[in-house]
Amino acid sequence: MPLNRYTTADLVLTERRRMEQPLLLLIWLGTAAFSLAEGSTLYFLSGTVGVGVNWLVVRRNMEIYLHRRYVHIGVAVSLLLLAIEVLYTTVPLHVTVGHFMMLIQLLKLFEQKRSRDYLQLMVLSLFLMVDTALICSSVWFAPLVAVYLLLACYVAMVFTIKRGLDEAGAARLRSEPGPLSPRQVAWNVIRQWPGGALQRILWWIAIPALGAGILAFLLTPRAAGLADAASQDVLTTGFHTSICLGQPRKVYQSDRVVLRIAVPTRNTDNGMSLPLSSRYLRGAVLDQYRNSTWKNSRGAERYPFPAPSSPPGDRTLLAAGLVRQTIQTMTLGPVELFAPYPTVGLIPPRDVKVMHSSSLEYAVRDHSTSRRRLRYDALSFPFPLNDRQRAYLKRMRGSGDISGATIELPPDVRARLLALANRWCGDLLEKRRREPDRTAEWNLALARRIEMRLKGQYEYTLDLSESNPTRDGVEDFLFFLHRGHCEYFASAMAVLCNLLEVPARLAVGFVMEEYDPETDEFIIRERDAHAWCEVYSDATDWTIFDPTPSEGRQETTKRPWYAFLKDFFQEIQFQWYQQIVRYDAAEQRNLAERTADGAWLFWMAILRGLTQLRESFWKLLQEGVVDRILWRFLVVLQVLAAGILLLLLLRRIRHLRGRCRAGRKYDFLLEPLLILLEQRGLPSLPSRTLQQHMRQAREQFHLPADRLEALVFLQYRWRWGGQTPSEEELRQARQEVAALCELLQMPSAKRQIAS
Amino acid sequence: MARRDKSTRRATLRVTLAGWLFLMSSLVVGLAAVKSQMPLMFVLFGSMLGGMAVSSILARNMILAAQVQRELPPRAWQFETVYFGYVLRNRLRRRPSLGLLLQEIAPRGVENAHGYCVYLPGRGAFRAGCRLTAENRGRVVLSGVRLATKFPFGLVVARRDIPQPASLVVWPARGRLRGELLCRGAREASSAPPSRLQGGQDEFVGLREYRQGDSPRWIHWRRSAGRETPVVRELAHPVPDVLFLVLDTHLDESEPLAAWQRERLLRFAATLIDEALGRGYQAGLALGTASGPRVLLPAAGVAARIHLLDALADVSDADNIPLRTVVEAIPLSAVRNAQTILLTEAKESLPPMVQANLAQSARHLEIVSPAELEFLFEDHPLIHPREAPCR
Repeated sequence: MPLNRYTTADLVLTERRRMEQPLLLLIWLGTAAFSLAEGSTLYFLSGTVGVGVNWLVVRRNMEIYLHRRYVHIGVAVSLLLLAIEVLYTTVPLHVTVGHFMMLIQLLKLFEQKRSRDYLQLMVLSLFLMVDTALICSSVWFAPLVAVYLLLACYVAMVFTIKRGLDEAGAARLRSEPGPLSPRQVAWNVIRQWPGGALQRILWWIAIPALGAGILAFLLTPRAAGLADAASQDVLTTGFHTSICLGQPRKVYQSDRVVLRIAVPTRNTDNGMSLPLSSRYLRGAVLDQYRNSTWKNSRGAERYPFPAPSSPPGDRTLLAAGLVRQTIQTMTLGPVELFAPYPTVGLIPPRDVKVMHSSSLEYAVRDHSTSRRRLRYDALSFPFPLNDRQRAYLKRMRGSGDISGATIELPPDVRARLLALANRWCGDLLEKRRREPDRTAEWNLALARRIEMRLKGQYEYTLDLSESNPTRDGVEDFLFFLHRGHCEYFASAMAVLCNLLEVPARLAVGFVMEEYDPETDEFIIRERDAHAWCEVYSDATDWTIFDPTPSEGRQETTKRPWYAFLKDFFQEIQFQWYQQIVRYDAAEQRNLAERTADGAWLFWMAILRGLTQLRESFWKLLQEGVVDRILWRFLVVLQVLAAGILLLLLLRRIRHLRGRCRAGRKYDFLLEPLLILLEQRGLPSLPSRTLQQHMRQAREQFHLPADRLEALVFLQYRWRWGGQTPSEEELRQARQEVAALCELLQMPSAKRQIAS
Repeated sequence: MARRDKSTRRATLRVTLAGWLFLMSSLVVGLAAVKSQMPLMFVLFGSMLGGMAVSSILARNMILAAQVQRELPPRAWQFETVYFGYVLRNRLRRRPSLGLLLQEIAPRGVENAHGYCVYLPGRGAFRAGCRLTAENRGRVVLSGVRLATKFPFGLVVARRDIPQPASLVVWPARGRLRGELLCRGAREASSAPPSRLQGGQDEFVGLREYRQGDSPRWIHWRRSAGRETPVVRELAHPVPDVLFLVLDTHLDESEPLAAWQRERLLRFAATLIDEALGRGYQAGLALGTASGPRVLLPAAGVAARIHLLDALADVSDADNIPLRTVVEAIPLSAVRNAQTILLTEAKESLPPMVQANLAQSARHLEIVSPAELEFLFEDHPLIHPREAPCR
């Protein structure tokens, strides 16, 4: 692998370092974005290593490259890989093409680079970014795109300048034996590298370009119903329609507000009068336990009944009244709607169709409508239920919703759990066996016993890093860990109840705890996600049992120090999803209408303000009274004037700072001497370099050769070598230039003697 | 206040090949965005188009903000590089101009290496060096300067033609003299080598007796001390070496190589004049022009050089005057002490009277025809013999 070292003259004219360093960063951004979006660590690492090696080499003014033969072999291998991936894998075509481009880019990084290669690398990087935009719409990608665009603009500008320099350097007339020396060309085309100007122009370009991008995003025709195409990551978190136990991990709970619930019939007692059952907002019911995982046995097709959108008409049903809860989803909800059990009426927005399952779980029919904030009213019976209410619920549910969960356990685990349940509830089981007509009553007693045992003997924790995934989750919790969170407690209870032939199932949702007196609403956050157990008995219908100890729960939900960052990111992610990803034709129409309305209102407000202002002026002229509108106008004027003054001041300060900094940047040291020489009839010509010009000046005006040479060398070292002289050196050089100027102003004879 | 010419303030924009490809890529990205409905694809699509539009506006403004002034020497040798400069100034206070390309709007036969300015700061000035080569002798009219930039992205090139008429006199190309043609006249006149003295300084010849009218300052007092009559220093004005060229510009229509041969004679004449003036000769020239014979009396110095070479540069096909007329117009005093060289294509058909007249009046006469140039003159390397038209 040869290493090529460049001369100073090459560096001057080719501007390699200025070109390659941002280009390498650009390439790295492209490869990193693609590999992260695609989730390929291998590509990420190889891209990083390739760019890193090139970066180190470029910083040492060298170039590392493979022989072209190996590059061609690499391209052939990449093509082969592309063909294999297209023919024998199910990877989408654009991802496959992305892999191919990554490989080609890596190969080109180790090729001997000319302007054409730089261009190819830029184009490949751009295509890779476009490819990434096709597969990723996450929020983290947006700032990356913005940075990429900025950098791409900068690299393209430097490349354009470099191309111009290349052409100037290679230009050769017929009358010339060869191109001019790089220094001579450089003297004719460039005095200083326009780094600051490029940065300023970058903003002038990038801001309108990004503005155009945003306009294209807003105005380009969009399809309808984009919500389903988006990622599921930003849906309501803390709630899942399946539960998997036994995973060693620490659970983090966010403070993000998920739901807001208003209870119109509530008394002003901080919600204390609300029935306990109405505090548990159920999202889903899980009735199948297998391999430490809870699921609903009927899956997503379990909502056959249209939800009643009005309360039952029978007054006897409403003897104890209905609990009405107005629920506002603050995030994008899942398909499931949260409502307490038993909700007998759910009033959704007009365009949303809601269905319910036999377990009285509610869900929206059209998935796309669930991907927006919903506000709905849930009407539920308060507990305890009377006979008619239970009968009504049975009719609503249809037949067959009184069986408990299906529990599938390994035989030894089942035996062990049964033994534990028997040990805890042996006396009650005996009583149930003796009094079969009171089974429902004893079942409830059994459930209560298990609830009490769990609450009393097990600790609440969110740190499950010690759990053993090879064991059954409930077994691990009950016999080994002795601690866990709500899912473990509720799972253990549901499993034990079912083992004792008490119909029970797991319910997941949120529990209402935090009350906000200012807004008169309950606030439900992500950390309020909860799992509990529902036990059936003929006497009480499905009853809520919550075996999770509340004390431990309060203590263990302490937030880590970085929690706010996570919350912030989640909020941004949500807003991104809400405002950007699901921006479709309907949103486009809404935005257009809102903008038109806003513009009209703004115009009207301006007209109204002008009219009022005119009246105020008349009043001032006629009555000499300065009214409130005039005062406001004057205040606004003063604020504007102050703002303008502040801006001017800031500009001035910036200007002065810039002048101070200018001394440290590249400075044309010999300028006073050149001006003086020009006045003396020796102008600097484009055909001569600084060195040649000084040589002629030395001969013509008898200036000291060694001092001039030293100054020219310093100038060259600073300008072309990029080595900034020290303050001491600069001071001495300026003194030297001043001395030479003085010398030049002396009469010729005296000058010769002085020299 | 004079109204500003709008044509000078007009810039044209043209999409480059890279620009077209970029535009097509943008459209593909747009289509992909509509198809996939991915939000960032729309942003990329808009940014690409927006970037191109902004770059066009920026390039146009940069071009319009720049002012150019050409610093061109008035004369140049054919096939020799002329270095000259463009002084660029930025009218705007804040906005810099970058990547400015400068090109001469010149007729065919002028090869121009583009001038380039990387960075022209706001309200700043820059002197961009440039060079050109003229391939044809004569007066070249440069109508103006074309200012262009591809900055910032090379997708669009903004161009502006700035009328700035200028004339460049292109002297015939300099070759190399093979023989010591210039020494011949002096050798034949006397055995002494030609004088190297310049500036009219006198030479000491000897002492003679004082005559009436001599300046007392000339008296050599030490030598006169022992004599009755004083002696004075006798000084002589050295006769400067004079080269007089007589150029036959008459074109023989029947001769297919006449024009080519005349050009060759012109290049020879230019080389000879340049060489002679460089050696301190006085040089003169007689040739026919459309308005009649033109005689430039022998003279030395920069001005003479310019006049002589300009006259050679200005020879055109219309200058078809017979040699006899030209010779008759030459004053005798011009060629009396001159080494005269007659350059003619038709040595054989030269009227005897012309030759006799010149031979009588000139110190030495040399007649050079194109056939003899092979031994006397080596042409400029860029004028290849193969370029000569076939007979």
